Amino acid sequence: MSPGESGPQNTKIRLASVPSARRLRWLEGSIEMALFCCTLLSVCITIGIVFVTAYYTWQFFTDEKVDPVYFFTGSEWSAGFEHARYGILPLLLGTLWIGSIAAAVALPIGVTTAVFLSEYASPRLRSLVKPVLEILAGIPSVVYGYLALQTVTPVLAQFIPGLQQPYNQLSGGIVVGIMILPMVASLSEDALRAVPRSLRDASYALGANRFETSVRVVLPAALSGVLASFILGVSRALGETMAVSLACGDRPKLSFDPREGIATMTSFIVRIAKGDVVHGSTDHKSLFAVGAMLFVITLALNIVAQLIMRRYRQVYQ
Amino acid sequence: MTEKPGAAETARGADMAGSSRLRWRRTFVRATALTGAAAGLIFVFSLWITGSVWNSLGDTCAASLVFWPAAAAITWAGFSRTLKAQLFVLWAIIATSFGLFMLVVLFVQMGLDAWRWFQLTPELVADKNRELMALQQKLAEFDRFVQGEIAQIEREEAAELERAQSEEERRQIRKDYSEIKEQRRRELVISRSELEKEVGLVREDVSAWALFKHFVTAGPSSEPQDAGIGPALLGSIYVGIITLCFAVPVGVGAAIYLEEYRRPGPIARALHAIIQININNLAGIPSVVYGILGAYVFVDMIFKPLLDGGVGAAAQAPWWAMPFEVLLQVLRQLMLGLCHLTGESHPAARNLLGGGLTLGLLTLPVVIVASQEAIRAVPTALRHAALALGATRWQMIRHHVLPNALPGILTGSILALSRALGEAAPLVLFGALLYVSDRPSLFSRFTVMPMQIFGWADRPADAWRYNAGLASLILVLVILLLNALAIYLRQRTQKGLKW
Repeated sequence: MSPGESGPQNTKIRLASVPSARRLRWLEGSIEMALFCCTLLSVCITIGIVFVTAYYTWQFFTDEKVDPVYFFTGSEWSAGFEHARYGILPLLLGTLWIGSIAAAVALPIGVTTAVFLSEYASPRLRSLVKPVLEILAGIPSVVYGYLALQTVTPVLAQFIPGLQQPYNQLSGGIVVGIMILPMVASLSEDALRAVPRSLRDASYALGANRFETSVRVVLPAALSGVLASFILGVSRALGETMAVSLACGDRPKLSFDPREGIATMTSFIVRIAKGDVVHGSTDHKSLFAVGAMLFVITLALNIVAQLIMRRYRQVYQ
Repeated sequence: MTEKPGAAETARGADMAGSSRLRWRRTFVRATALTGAAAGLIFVFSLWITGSVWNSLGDTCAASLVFWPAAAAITWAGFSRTLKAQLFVLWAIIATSFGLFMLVVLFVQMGLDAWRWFQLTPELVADKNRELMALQQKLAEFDRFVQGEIAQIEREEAAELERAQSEEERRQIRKDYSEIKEQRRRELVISRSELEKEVGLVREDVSAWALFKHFVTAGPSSEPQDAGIGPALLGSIYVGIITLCFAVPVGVGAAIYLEEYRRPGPIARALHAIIQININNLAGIPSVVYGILGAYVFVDMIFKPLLDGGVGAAAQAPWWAMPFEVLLQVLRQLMLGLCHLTGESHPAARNLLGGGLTLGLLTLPVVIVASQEAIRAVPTALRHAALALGATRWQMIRHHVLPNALPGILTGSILALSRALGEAAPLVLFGALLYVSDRPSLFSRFTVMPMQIFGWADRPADAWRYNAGLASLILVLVILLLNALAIYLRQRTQKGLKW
């Protein structure tokens, strides 16, 4: 086939393959529609979550065995037993305990790691350490629960007498803290690195050393970002499920002793889902009420974090 | 040592009797350093006396909560700037290594447990085998007993025959005895086959490789050495595939829409912002909550009605329910057809498909955000060039944006997959903790690796925990491999593409 022959042929084929303008418009429109539906699905997820939890929570509150006021103020949660009482404070306390222990572990270490990586470490060291830290974030939460049972609790038991084995809050909080550590570290590091270089230069010019520059100048300048990373980390810790229900057990009690086991909102959901609860019973509905509570708390924390983040963006960009 | 940090102070305090101030400061530093050292010594001493941190701290908890931080603060305030900076570097290095250290601890723990598993399991298998051997002997005895029994019957028969007078009677006796023999034999065969079934479980090969192979392929069992992760592994793979098949097309579609189909106008922009905020928030919702949503939507709303064969009562249903009814029946037939194809005889409402789709919903925000970033990274000039040559918007996306964003999208998808593989909480609400012994199919009950680990790690016996350790190791290695693949892809694209 000579090039002279193939030329017109190609043109012909190409002309044939070009759809008409009307068809093209229709095609474009339908593709946009399909993509819009994909986007809409993400909104549907939120609506679905809100609807499902709200609907069953309403059913839970209108159940004759449930006192809505006691739900928010009561100190006994005995779902699954006869004459069960539904006061969410013990579960809330458990969740808060896990959140605070995790925060006590992850926040100081995470921020220091962030400062070290952003202000002290060479780019090469940073590129080595960061992926390794990210591995920590990728490890399944069940494996953290296993770590708590197999390593952390026995090690802690060496130091702390009266530590309940195998379930205690301390080990659960610590492993959850380790789990959120990479998140806090990497988000804080992003915030620290977004601080303009001129601030550091000014600080050095005034005679501050590196420690003073990073802790007294860079860290306060990036405070909103660091704070947002704290809140996101804590919100993740509050929603953590498998590690907590493995490490802390599932006995709800109003306990202020971190050496004891305790049920959190998430581990209660797991317990109810694990057991064979009659569909539509009060216990089953209580699962949704607890889920709704968890959803509201984490959503509120996320929104606060985003508001803080936005403020921080306005300052430096 | 004391002269060095003094430079700044001397400059500052030159006009206010610098030398005496410096001397005071030095004294203060020494005093506080001494206090700190003394406090540390007392602490170590009390530790030595009482034998534990908790007692020395806990008994005087309130006092120590005030005393030790105060002592630390005073000590810290007394340190010179250089010392503070050096101590901070030390602390920073310790803090940074903490994460790495915990990673090492985790791997050492899993490795140790896997090693102990390889140590313990042969013993357990050998014990079990010994038991089964005894059973085999019993079986041999049983066979002898059977022969004796039959012989006894035959002897009785012969005796009866001897005593019998007529041919008629003899025939009757033979007939009776053949019936008796047959019945007895049938009974014995049944009890023998029961014994045999157990004896069949003898595992001849106790080499490490054979044990590992058994662990990877076998189903659940009530005994730790016989239990394996076969169905869980298959379930994880299938769930991962379903998750990807759902989350990647939908997520990439949503990302394209959000990045490429922005419309002008305040309402459109507000809508866009709302969707974006919504997606960012979705990523922060706990996974259990997704489980609650998935269990409601897929189990209660879709699969239960499908399995129950429609809502029934179609006559009383309002007219607008008609299309739903038709759709339901069509879906039902489709589902039954699929069940037939996959050879599933007992479709369950809490099935693999629903679980995979739930994890798909969970990973959707991850995929969307990653794809959005990848699409945003494609230079605008490329888009303009394509549009200038007469391409429509979709042609531009299809031929220029997507190919260039593909590595980023792939990276995000792999990360989403590795998250889905490790996620167990949403699947608890799908009853995935069940004893599942057969290969999972699309509409069967299922279990996944994290659930299996969850079930094992909770048990008090060591052997079960070693099982959990080995399973964790396998799971973590798979996830690490996926992450490494994602990192490799990311770095390759960063190197390869220069705009």
